[in-house]
Amino acid sequence: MIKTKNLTKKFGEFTAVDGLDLEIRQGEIFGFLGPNGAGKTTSIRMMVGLLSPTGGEVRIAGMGNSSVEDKVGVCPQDLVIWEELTTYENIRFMGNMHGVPREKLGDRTNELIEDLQLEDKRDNLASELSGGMKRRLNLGMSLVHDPEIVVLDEPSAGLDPQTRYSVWEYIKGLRQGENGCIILTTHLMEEADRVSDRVGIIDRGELIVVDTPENLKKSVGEGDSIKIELNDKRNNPEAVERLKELGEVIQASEVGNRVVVRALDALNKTDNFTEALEESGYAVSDVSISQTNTLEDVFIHLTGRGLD
Amino acid sequence: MKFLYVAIKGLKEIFRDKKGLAFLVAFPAIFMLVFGLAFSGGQGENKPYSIGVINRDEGALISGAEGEKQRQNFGEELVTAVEGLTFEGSDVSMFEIRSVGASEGDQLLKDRDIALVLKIPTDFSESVSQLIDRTVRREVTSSVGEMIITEFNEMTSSGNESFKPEDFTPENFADRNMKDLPADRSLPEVKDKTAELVIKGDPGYVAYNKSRGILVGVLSQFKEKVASRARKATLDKFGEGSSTRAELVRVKSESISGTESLTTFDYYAPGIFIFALLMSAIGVAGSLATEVDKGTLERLKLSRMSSFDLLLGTLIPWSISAVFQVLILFGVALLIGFNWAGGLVSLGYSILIAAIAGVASVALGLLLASFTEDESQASNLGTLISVPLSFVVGAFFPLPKVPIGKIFGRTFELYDTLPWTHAAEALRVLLIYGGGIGDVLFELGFLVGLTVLLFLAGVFFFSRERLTSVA
Repeated sequence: MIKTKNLTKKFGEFTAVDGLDLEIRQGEIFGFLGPNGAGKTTSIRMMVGLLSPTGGEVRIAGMGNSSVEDKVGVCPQDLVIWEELTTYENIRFMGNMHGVPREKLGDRTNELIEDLQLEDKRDNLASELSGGMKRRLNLGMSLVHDPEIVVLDEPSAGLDPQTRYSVWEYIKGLRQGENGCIILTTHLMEEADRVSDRVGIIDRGELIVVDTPENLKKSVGEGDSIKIELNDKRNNPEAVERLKELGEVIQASEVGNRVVVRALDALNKTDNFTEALEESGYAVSDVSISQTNTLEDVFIHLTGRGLD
Repeated sequence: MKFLYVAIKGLKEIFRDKKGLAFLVAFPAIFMLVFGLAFSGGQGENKPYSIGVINRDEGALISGAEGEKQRQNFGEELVTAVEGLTFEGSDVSMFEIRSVGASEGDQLLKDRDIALVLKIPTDFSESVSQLIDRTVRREVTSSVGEMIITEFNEMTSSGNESFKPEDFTPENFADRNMKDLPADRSLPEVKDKTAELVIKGDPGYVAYNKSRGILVGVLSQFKEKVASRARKATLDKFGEGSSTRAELVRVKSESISGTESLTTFDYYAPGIFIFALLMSAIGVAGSLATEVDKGTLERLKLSRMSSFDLLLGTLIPWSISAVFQVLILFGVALLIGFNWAGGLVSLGYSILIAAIAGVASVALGLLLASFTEDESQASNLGTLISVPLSFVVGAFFPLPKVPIGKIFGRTFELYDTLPWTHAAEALRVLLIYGGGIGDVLFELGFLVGLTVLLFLAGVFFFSRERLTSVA
């Protein structure tokens, strides 16, 4: 459905996206996972033609991406709405701009308002909506023309957990069988895991891996993940070295402000690890164990850093 | 048709944005109100000038008709004369006189509660009496001389051979001609006496300059009248009529045709319409910069909307807003005394001119939005350009001549390259002088031509900077 070949974007000396080769298939929900600034948004902006690439090419349904307005619906990361228009007017205006026939537009607008649970605020100015409502409106405006390719840039950023889950369900419901595709960019591993059929992990402008969430999690291998927080975070690098000396550790690294250790039978070995750290003079303030791999574990496994 | 949807969206945004609307309408309306209150009392309105008088004149003894002495205060007479002045063809007094002390007068001048203070010195009457004496002496000597020459000529030419020139003495001449004169036939002694009248005020105050000019004229007339009265009194003794004018002061002013009742504010009002229209360029720039900054323009670029839809869709609501702006300002101007000439037809043409000038402002807004990143930048740059521009196009006062050539026989000034200059001039012709469309064809032609050029420049730069994908 969408194919990029050696897609590259440079801003001066800085390379935001470096030789992206990617194929997004018809009918799938593709998740772009990576930390903030990894190059996710830049990649999709080039795909939909909002940003000129420095090099490489994009093919959508076998064609260039110069006139794909009818096929693509982009929900930007920021709230891109007209504050002085009502909920209904915002969606309807975008429908008019996309050329949705007048006889269908009214029903389509009302349908979106209902699906996104905005009925009570139908005639309220967008400026009067809460943050979560605005984000749902932002989504509805991208979908009014029923696009084949839906691009959602961090669609649940700033939403409370309950609304986030309902938005995820809504996104999964957008899948149109074998026609079209949904591209999702996120830095939330849970979002990528729950919603995506396949996930591409991107870091520092480079696509590191693409696979299903299950296969990615399996690729990390056996073992559990132990996250250790020290009282003095400045000791994290020395603590990592001390843990590696213990021999029972598969991998140890500093991720964010924590020390993350991968080891078999972590439940029984955690005490050994914390005692070793305490004896070395590194006071431990918190410990948590995860016995199932997450996409964050995958990211740590691949990059040695966390998603935060 | 998409431009219509963009236009409707734009109209909703303009009329729902209370702050923006206040800036567009209330700000120029307040401006209009301030200008109206400050300048509506122009030459067309017969309004008395308030002046202060310090009369210290002690009066003087003047010889009466029968030679008796009587005290007279010419200072009071002068004040009464000034008080009695009225505008031509009107019973409205020219001056409203307040009797003040020195320090009170100074304070009133500083507060501009009065236009000037007239100080009449203690010896004013004394000085006037000297003027009378000098006049009487000159008239008497002149009249007596004339009589002597006339009688002498009559006697020598009558063929009376008994007439002897040596018998023609002052004594027998007086016996023959001055029997009815008072006993005291001595001529008054004339001293060299000059009293100094002071007119005090602020030369930077228009009312001071106007009222001072009138007073100087009044004083000159007063002097002439006093002398004339003395002349008349003297000549009556010799049986001759008076040529004294009945009226003390006559003030007459003439206006160019069509401006008889105009005030300074009438000149300013059409300029304020232009000022308001130029201010709307800030609104346009702010609105487009917001579309860029908030990402809504990017969202629109991902739809089927073309550049034409966006630009025409932006143009329509702002032009409609320009017309509303001018109508509201016109209403405010009428309420505070704008002298509108030309009737509804000229108003209709004025609205057309305002709409075209509004398009020029949209074009300026497009240019501003091409080079600014957000609403704040657009507002700052817009203010920086629009406010000085309103002075440059002559919205507030006539501009100095800066000729750059001749077009259709008319001198083309540097500022004539801006469309709003022509709009301001056309509005003045239509609204103040009651001109018709034929009178503003030159201005209208240039307004349209320059607006089209400016709009094309705006479209070019905005499309290049904002409507193509980012490199």
